[in-house]
Amino acid sequence: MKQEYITYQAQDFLEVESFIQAYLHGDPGLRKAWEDWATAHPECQPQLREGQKLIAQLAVKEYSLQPGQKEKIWQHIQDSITTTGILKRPARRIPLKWYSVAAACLFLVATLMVWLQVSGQSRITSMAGTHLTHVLPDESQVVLNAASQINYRTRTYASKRNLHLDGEAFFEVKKGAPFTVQTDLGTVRVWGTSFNVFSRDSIFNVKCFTGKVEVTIPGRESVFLTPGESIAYIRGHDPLADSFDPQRQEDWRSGIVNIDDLPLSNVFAEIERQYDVNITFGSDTGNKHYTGFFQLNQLDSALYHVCWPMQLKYQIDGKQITIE
Amino acid sequence: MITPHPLWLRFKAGDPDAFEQMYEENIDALLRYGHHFTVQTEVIEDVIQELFVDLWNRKSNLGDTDSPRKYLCASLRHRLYRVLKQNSKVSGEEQIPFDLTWAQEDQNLEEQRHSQVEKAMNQLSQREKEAIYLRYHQGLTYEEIGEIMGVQYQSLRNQVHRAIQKLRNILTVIIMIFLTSLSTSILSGGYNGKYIILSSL
Repeated sequence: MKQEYITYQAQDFLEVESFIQAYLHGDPGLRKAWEDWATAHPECQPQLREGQKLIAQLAVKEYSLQPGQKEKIWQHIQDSITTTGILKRPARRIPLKWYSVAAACLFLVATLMVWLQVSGQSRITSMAGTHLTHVLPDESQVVLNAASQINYRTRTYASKRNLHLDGEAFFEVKKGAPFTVQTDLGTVRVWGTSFNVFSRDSIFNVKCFTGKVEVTIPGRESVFLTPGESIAYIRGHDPLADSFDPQRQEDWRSGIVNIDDLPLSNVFAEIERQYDVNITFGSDTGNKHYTGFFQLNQLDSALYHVCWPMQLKYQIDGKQITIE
Repeated sequence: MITPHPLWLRFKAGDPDAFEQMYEENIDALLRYGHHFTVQTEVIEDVIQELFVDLWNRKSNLGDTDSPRKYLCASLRHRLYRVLKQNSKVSGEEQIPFDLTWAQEDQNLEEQRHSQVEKAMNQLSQREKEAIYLRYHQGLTYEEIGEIMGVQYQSLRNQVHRAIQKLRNILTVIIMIFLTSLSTSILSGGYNGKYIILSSL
């Protein structure tokens, strides 16, 4: 939260994006953040509450899309484009000159397959500062958070549906044979569902969004999670069960990182991964605990949201950040 | 100097996946935006379809944009205007209605206050409503809205500020009337709080 908010008049709040999201579009995380801020600044409450009343007036009734409407329009677009022969998508009749292109494509696909057969291993890595969506051979989908990696055996994937994860990812799995995610800290087994896995250093966290998820931590009994249930495990401690709202998109996928009582060293590590930067800070600082959130838009604003409540100062020098 | 959006560049280079992604990311917003200009769903669907077909056909001649959403909204607006102008007596851009139905989320507003607020909101001009909609419901910046609506950034910002100030004044007056009548009721004695609140308005 910015320092200058305490000087804000009701109307000024209507210019703040997180305020709009909280009180007009009802984002629960941001709403909580603002309510916490209001509790901490009782003298600002009259202006804030008036701003809240004002923004509530701006709610409008929106048109709701019909099922299949988007697909129908897209189909029409595709049809118009392919009949004028411009979009190079599979058309019903391929003109003769396209045979050469098709042959070239086939050759490429074949080469790629041979290469994969030889290497036998698929490795997908998202660099720091990027998120990446990957579709697996069975059409299950993985969204990798920044600085994460998955590995799987191309040849056996179809029969085993088994992959290794290092980092954090959100999975949407097609129904079928058991699907297994192995990490250094534990194993997750599902049948057709969506869930989020975090496994870095000594922290392991699994959230079940739909379906049923089986989590196994070495040396312990398996646990089954149903939608809205999560499990967190820190190496050397007992696993903790918790709950969350499965209707909401996983935080990092919707561009927000929520942090609930974690050491600053973990928070800075997350910022390093999200923005591809390097942060240096004292060990005293790293041990302090932080609760709050930041949005994944501007590095400056993320640092501000973390540093200001902790009364820390930061300096940005290219990719190097120093916390004082 | 603008920095062209990466998705836009991929689309312009002829990548069909980028084109599809651009459709997926914007179609909801475009359909909703369109419905504030007309209730004829088929008209909006036709215009959107035409818009995307033209985009693909002319991609090599298109300029750059830093925001596909802004580009698409501006283009949809322009095309809808053209169609709606043909179908009605409207002559200037300014006259094209922008219909916003206010959804009162605040259930504590009693009926009378509700209708006063509604009246206040409906005093806003069509373009003020459109600007407020794009700012608060499409999440666009004033710069982007200015480009879409073809107005200067500063005048647009002032326009929205004025509209909200107007609303704020009306709300303050309503609250004051409410408080005055509340204290009169208390002075005249008698009823419990809840009843007074209901009866005083």
